[in-house]
Amino acid sequence: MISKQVTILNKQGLHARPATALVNTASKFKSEIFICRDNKKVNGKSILGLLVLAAEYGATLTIEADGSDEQEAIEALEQLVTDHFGMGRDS
Amino acid sequence: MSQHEDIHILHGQCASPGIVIGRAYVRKTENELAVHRTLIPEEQIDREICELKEAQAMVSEEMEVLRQRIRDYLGPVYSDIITAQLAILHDTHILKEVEAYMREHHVNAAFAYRLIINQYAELMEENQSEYFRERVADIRDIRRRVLHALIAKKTVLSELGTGYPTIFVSRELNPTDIMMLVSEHVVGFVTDSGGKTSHVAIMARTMKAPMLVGVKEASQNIESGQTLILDADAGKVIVQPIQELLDEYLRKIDIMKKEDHLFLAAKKIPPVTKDGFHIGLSANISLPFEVVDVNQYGAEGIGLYRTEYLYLMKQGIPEEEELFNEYRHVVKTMAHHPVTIRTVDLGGEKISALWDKDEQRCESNPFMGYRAVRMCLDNPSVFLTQIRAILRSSAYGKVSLMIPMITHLEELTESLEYVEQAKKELRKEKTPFDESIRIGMMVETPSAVVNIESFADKVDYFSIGTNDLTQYSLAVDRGNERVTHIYNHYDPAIIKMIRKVIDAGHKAGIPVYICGEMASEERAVALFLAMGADGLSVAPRYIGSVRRFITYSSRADFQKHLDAVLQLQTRKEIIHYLDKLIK
Repeated sequence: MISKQVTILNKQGLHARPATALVNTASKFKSEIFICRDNKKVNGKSILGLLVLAAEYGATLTIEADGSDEQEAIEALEQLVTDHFGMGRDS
Repeated sequence: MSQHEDIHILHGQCASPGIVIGRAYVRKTENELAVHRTLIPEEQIDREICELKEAQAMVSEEMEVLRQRIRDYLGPVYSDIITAQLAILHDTHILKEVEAYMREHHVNAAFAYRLIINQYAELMEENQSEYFRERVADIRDIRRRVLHALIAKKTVLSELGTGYPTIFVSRELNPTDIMMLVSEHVVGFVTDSGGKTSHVAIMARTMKAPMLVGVKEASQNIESGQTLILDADAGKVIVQPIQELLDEYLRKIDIMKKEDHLFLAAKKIPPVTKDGFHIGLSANISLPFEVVDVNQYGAEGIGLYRTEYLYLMKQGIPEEEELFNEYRHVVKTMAHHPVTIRTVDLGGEKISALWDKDEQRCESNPFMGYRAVRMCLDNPSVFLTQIRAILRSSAYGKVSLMIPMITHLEELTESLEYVEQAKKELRKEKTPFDESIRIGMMVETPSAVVNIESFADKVDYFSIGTNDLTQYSLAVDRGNERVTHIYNHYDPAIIKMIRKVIDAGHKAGIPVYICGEMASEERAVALFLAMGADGLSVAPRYIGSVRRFITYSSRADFQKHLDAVLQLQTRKEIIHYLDKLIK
């Protein structure tokens, strides 16, 4: 199992559209993906779970990946977060 | 009133006017849908899961139809409004959790689904951020739709497609529910809760569907299939009316339809009084597709284009390109007619989720709180983005910009500085805009009226927003039913304020327009004609009746009575006097 800390850079936080993008990316990998914030830990392949985190702009999340392709998964997810989920800075 | 009548007439507040007759469709909340815990033998679990997946697919189809309708009506950007619902519906991980629960406890799909979804909804309710708390409504919506499809084996949408005019009765409504209207079967709405000023109410009005809100326990007192007369104008819904009453209403509706035909036919007749006074007659719109109505009824332009929907429907702050495209579309559709675009006027509670990233403020008095130009001046980049988009749209027609909620001079001068800054930027970028674009302000606060002379030489026109002016002057919240009787725009104070603004505008050589519900009432139009208002802006549906009144009137006749009206001491006397005058 490996993990990585990321910061949400979208002005409006991890709302439905970016959360969907995250789920889509996570689902491409066989590894189990978990996203943690404070004392909450949710499945990275579940939109409902991600919404429960209520991660607003500037929130710090920990991505955990566990499985055969965990390295690629972590890298892809980190890239996605850094890229504002491909939605532009103001979204 | 006899007890018999009492049972069959339910009262509420009119959120969208009109009268319709139809068959009730009552949406049961999932508490009323029987979701019991049932033990399921091992061999039946697969079938249960299969049924859950089928229900999910049905809802998926239903939501796709809704998404298409939103797209057709509002444009592609706004189909985002159901993005969260669709994403929640398609959450495959949740299905796995439901399946695991069913296999472990040998229970039915409906029970397990509700249990798992509720766990998430409860976690989300704890959230600090309004955006995420509001998603709980999306989760509940999906839960309700899926459970309905699972138990009834059909979707609400398919049940509505009966070909018979339907009045939709429910505890509450969200914007996606309103979209069902476009099915042409749903002709009206009745809800237990809800306010007149909610976004849903605005949508119902623009789609010309009568809507009654705050009808206590309507969804319990009305049964699906019952015949209803929804008379939103009179604030009531009549359940299972007797034939005589039904006939009476059918006649009434028929007369209204005939009248409407006359109004449509008169669209080219200019709004000029018998003695030759031309008063501008334009329309207020809240959504771009209303432009169709504006042109059908022959308004001379758009006197108030409310831009809030762009922010609310997106559930986010729109980008300049999106705003520009939207404005340009409206401006181009109106051809050479003027379009007055008002900068965003949102109350704190609505937009704080979009605006305030760090702190969610719950305001106890949002009308006096962080809203409209106050919020814009506090967020210059958002304000500049909108001003730039409005300026850019001015290259495609006759546009003017209007700033709402001005209370003191600095607010206006600061706003005008932003307009200048945006113009400078555009010139530098060589982006075209109309250099002679008119900039005006809404007069809707008592302080602006008292100091009106100091504003007059800074703007190109005034537009009096009678709704807010009345609310602020009489210190009455229209949504509060205990004080709503105090709200009355025929109060002598309001009449005198309007007079003062018109006179001050004319003295400074600028036109003064009236927008607000008052302008659609004949007795008020008589008053505005007498005072010499330069233009009226009303909801598209009132264009016809106001035009008829103007063309049948003589301004000189009304002018003779103006001094007498201004002498009257009470609202009652004023209303009585004006009613006698226009008879």
